[in-house]
Amino acid sequence: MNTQISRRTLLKALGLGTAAMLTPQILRAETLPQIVVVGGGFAGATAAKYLKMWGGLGVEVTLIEPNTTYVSPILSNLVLNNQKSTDDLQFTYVNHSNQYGINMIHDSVNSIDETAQIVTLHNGSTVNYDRLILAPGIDFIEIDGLDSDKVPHAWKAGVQTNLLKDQIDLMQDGDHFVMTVPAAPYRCPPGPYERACVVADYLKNAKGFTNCQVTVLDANADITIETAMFHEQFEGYGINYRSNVSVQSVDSDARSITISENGGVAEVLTSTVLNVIPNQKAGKLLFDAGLTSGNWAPVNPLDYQSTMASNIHIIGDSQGTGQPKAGHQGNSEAKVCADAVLRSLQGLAPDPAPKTNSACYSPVSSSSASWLTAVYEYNATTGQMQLVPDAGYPAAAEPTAENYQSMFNWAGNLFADTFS
Amino acid sequence: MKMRGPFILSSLSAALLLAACGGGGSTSTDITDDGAATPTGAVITGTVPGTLIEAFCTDGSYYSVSSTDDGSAEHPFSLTVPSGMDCHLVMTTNEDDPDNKIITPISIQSGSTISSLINTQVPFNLGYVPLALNIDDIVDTNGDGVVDTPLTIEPEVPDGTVIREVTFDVLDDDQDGIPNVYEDDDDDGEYNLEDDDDDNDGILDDDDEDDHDRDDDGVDDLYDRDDDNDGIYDDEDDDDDNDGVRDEDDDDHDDDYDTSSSTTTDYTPVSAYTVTPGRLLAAQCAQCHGTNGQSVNSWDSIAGESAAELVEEMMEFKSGGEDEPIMEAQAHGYSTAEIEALAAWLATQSYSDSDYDENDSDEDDESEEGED
Repeated sequence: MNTQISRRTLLKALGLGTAAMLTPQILRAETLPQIVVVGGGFAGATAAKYLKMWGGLGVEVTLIEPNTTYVSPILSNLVLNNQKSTDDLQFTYVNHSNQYGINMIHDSVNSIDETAQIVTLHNGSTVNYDRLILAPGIDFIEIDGLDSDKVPHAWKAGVQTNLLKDQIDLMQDGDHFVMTVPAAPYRCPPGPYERACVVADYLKNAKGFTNCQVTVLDANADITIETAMFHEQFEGYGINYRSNVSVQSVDSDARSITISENGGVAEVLTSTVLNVIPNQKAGKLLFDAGLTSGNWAPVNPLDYQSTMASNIHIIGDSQGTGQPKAGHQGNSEAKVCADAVLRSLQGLAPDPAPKTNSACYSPVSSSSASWLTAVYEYNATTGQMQLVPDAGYPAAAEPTAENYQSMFNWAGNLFADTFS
Repeated sequence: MKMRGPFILSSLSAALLLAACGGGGSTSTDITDDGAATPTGAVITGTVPGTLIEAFCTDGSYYSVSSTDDGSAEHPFSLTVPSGMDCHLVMTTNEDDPDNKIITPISIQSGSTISSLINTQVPFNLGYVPLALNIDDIVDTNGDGVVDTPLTIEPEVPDGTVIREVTFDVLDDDQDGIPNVYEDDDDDGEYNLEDDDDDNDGILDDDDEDDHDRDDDGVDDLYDRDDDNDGIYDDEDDDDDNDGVRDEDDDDHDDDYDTSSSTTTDYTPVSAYTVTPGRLLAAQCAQCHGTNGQSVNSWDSIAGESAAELVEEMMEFKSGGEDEPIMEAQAHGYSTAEIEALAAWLATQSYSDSDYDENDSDEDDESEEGED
């Protein structure tokens, strides 16, 4: 997860590349449209790929992403119970570069000049854009005393996932696992409940611990999704579920958490393993650029253009349309955005009736999974995306072994559609 | 370190330059020699004084050929580069004479556009390229043997060849028409390619941990199809960094990202983006059924079926007639008109066009079911 900075770019930034100063610039008569995508997760990586797949030689596409490898949060709860490793969930941008001809820059964006249409990178160099697509994912809202290097969130996959896994693997029979569920909206709605089930199953059935306790502290009034199914699973595992719990502070060394349930008096819980998933907001870049309202970035869902700036589009978990924040959904939004951006370069209006969909398989043990799916449509009256009416959305299925196998087909094609 | 004084532009005419032709090794090198990179590509031809012609392409690949001495002053050459790939051309005269070799990057003028990035899908004849043969005739401020500005020529540009203007060129960071390999970043009189210490930090490039670009072409080794610019793609090159140690025994460098040339996609150039009905809707099937409907595992591919078949299947899902609850749920999300539109587009997608051929697909099926 190291940041790669091109030494050449650095030299240029430091003014050591003197050739540029000595030679006159060639007069440029025409310029291909340059589309810059920031963030190489499910939304950003899909957008870059589809822009080049559909725009071909007519556009230049540059993807700016700090890391050279991406670890998928999708399926990452299966690292906790040894069914997967983070290596299995790791992807690179080699196809983006070699197959699609996308310019890869491994750096982060420091600032955006909306007027000049220039982004400045951490290393000081600049990249011009005609259209800018921002997909920075989520940031966490700070919790007093929380040090995620000690009390992991494991809500961005990779180092954090393995940190939590290592802590779980040190648990003994009778130990306590406490996790929090952030207030909606947050990344991957079923994810926290799925995690509680997977960990409870692992402790009980893989480790053979009969006296471990799993406690779920939910900021929401009830389980936010697949409610009846997860309640049934929690009951089966003997998971202690508490709703309307707000987190006041964390002691990261003592692994204790101060909470208030239903607005009541403060209560301190101490746990062998504490997994605090904080409340969430749009990526910092969007706040710095003044593109947020509340915690998220408002956009027009026809083209995902910011309602607060021209030629800047926001997709994935940071955007504020109310569609679920999840990898499959981010991939879906990216295609609508890519099509609209390419159309806009030719002065064409976006598709007036775009559809997106979400689908998510959730493991609840090492051998069974449920699923959840929905299709969204554009409502021209409200200007918002909504569930297609009268279709029974969100549709869901009970956990089965067959769904567990299907989960890998779903993820396999989603991964390939994004990274291959 | 070689140092040369600054040179002043001479007013020698092309005719005089031609008359001076004769130096330099003009032996023909067959770039289809064993192991050499052989792109399925477009052929660039032309005539030059005795010259080494090099192409640097945005995927990091490298191609070179020497012109053929046919006894005339205009030696023909023919160089194959990948079709539809952006490439820079650089021509070196007196290439075998270290003190007199002249390195000339080439720019092309097409209408009002001047660019050093050539992208061709068809044979492209440059005609005669009037390169300098006398070191005193070029402007070379830092004395590294590389001309300060590219030579601009104006050949006839055929349909299928694009002279590309871009705002970001990985091969030429400062967009001055001189590719990165022939820039002199630290201004020490040695261009990067021959400079063992590009950043003058006292650490030789080979030992320099901040050097992610062994061949100095600007393409990060991660994405460089030919890390050492030896003309052999990394996936066929047993020694990616050209240090004489085979990759399998080499601790300091092996390209984990060897990529097969078979995955390279030829793009259809589009000068105007047009709306393709059904495509955006069909793209929403790809999350589960693969890009362009081509699944990479045992889930159904939906490319290559007829539109009528696809519509019929979707309608059966919708009616609940198939025992496929997730497809039943999805089918309810789309109107009949939408299903017909996406089916019509998917029917245009041939499964055999997939990057995943039947064998790969079968293997994926097994591994998915076996491992997972």
